[in-house]
Amino acid sequence: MKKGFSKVIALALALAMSLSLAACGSGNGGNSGGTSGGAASSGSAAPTEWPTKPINFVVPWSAGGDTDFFARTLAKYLTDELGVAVNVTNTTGGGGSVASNEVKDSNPDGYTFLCFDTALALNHSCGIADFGYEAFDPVCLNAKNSGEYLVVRKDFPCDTIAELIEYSKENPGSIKLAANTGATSYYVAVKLTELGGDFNVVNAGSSSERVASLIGGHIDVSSHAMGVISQYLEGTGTGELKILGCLATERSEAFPDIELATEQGVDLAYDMIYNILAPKGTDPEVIKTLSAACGKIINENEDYAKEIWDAYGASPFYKDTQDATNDLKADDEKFMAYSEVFQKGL
Amino acid sequence: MIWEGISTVLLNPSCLVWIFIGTTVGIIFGCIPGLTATMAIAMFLPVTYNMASTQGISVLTALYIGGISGGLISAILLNIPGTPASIATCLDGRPLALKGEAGKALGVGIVFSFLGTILSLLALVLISPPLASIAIKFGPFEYFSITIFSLTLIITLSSKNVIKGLMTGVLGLIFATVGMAPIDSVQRYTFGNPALKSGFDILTVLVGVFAISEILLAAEASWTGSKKDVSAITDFKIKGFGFSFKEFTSQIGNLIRSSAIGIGLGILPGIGSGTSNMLSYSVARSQSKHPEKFGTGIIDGIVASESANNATIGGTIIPLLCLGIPGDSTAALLLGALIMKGVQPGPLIFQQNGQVVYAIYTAMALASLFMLAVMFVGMKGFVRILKIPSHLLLPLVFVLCTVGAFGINNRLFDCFALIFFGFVGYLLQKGDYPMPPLILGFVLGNIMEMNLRRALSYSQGDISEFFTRPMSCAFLLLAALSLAINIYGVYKSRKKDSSAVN
Repeated sequence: MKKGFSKVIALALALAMSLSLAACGSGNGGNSGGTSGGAASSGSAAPTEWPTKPINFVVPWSAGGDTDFFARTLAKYLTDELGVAVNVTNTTGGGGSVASNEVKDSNPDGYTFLCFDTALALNHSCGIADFGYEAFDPVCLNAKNSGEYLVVRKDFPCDTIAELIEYSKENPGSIKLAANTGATSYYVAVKLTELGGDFNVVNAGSSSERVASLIGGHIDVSSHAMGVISQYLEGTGTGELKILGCLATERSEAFPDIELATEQGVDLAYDMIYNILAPKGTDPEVIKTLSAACGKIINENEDYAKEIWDAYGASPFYKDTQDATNDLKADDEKFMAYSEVFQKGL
Repeated sequence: MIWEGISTVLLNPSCLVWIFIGTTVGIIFGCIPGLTATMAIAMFLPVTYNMASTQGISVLTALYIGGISGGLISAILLNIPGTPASIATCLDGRPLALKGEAGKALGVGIVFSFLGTILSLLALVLISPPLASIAIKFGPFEYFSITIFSLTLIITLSSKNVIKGLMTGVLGLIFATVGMAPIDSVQRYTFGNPALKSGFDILTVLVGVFAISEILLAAEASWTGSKKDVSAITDFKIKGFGFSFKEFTSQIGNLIRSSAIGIGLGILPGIGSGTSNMLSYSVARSQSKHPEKFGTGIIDGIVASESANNATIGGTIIPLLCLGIPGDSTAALLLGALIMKGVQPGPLIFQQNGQVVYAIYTAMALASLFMLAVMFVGMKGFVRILKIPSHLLLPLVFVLCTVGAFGINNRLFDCFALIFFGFVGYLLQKGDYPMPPLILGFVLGNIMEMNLRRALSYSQGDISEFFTRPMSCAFLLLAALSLAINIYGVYKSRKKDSSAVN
């Protein structure tokens, strides 16, 4: 009797184990399917037959962030468009470089892609990764956020970025400007310093942590996407914070009234752009097909447009392979110009 | 709005079913060493994309509560903490089980996990805005001081040999330095291997030193024939929850204190349940009238650990909702899920998305009830796991641990790291070195270093601010006090030992 019972338990445990294995398998289904299936079909499949099995999108951040969101939303519609599952897996770490290394070195069989963002060029320039866009075959640019904004507490004695730079000259080293190595915020700090500002550049963590530090009085100036700050602005929220200027290259459709830094005479502009990259050596036909499918969804699908607008206030944005390559090159050059400062620190 | 939020969960049968599934899956993930609440949520996140916002968030919250609670099962029965939140549960849970009272240990763990969750839920519902405004006051100076205070716990967690405890604590700190340095991303000990850039994952360290080393020890024992007698664990009776009403009332003070510690650490992003269980265990021990009994299998230890780790859940949700700051990787996933559903956490969440907030509260309350019910019903079954001969059970545990390690980031590196830490744990256990200080050092190492460097950059190298800021100074004084009390305690027990020998 006792023995019989332990058998049942052992069976149940075995079942539980295989279930959990299956469950984990479904999480990385694209990955395992991608590699095992790849060995079987590589070589024999003609390019026109692509895709014949699930595609894997690798996102270098954990699930739930903006890059992950844009990749997953696109993947959902691509699954219908291409007729095969498009799975998203998250491989985090090393400021995104763990995933970019992995995809760079993966089999260019047309089933593994990297969904990354401006951090690709930033990683390159600050030395976290020793390669940039040129280590990949770009597919397309799939999204752009609604700009980043330079923010201070409401009682801060400046209203524009130009005034901030002047104010920092009068109070050298006493204004705490939050910046993270290898992030767009560091580029902001480098540029503001180059333009004559004199800040105490400090690290204050992730975007949401920086907002809390700003309100708590631990830091003075920080750059953010609209999502995390809108609840603290006057009009849309508590009014504890105010915007000095928008750091994007053009006014955002969602917030057209906010002045650009460049309009204030401050030479500081960058966009947060999301990209899809294939490992070097991927069949150009595959890239063309995928890029076209992405373009069709982004430019024509209204449900897609509504989803990205609701979540991030982003408008559809797509650039094909050729334009994407040019933009990625421009971004890479823009940040590589500051490579030395990035690596040595301000 | 309040009723709307509650009713979207309570009056929606499919939502109730999902919360039940979430809680149960969470418990399973929590109790299997190597699988955690974070993984369960990461797996379920895509499933929730097509659900209504309240339903999706409810499932994820249920997974969170189940995942943190489930860890106590393997901690008590196998001496392997299923999650970092249950490390201190091993310290008294396992000895109690070895005495033949596994049912009591589980019953106490389950009930006080439930009560811890409920107390933290009350704090969340009633006073989250003021608690969040306290969290905002914590800058890098305060964080650094609180980690210093937490590190003094190493002494209490070292059981008999303080020197050995300090050694494993420092070893934990050393392992935490691998990877990119906080702030300037300088690579340390990566040997040009990109996989090492992000350092070791806490899960590989935890499961390695606790689970894999346990398996290695068992393998060795079967080789040498010196098998541990675990028959007592399976040989027991369960009546109700296995403890008396009098035992329950004797723990109320402990429950409230431990839950307060759990909530307090929960609202400080980054410190969380991995630390709160060990901190409240140490505090319970130092406040106890019979500290020498801790570690021998008394319920006080289980109560302290389990009510604190569950109370941390409610604590963690506070900065998540009020400030949008995720306290740990699990909360980060919840944050992502909220944003994806168009719910932006922040001071206005109660006005803009009150319905979702109250739905979350309802889901938490329901999930803790389901947790209580599922674990109570399952209790008798869990214990029977131990009837499986260890040569069958442990290889199974090993496979699950490896699967879990792979699941962290979909790469083999973490599996090798797991095995590496298994050998580290094995060697340390052979030398009778305590494991909890290693985990504590590892968990706090990065937070401490990052905040020290941040603080010094804020003050431009001036260390006096650590003492002039009131809260920072208070924690440093507490650290000194804790150190003094513990050193005195060690001195006293030494004297007692030596006089006993004489």
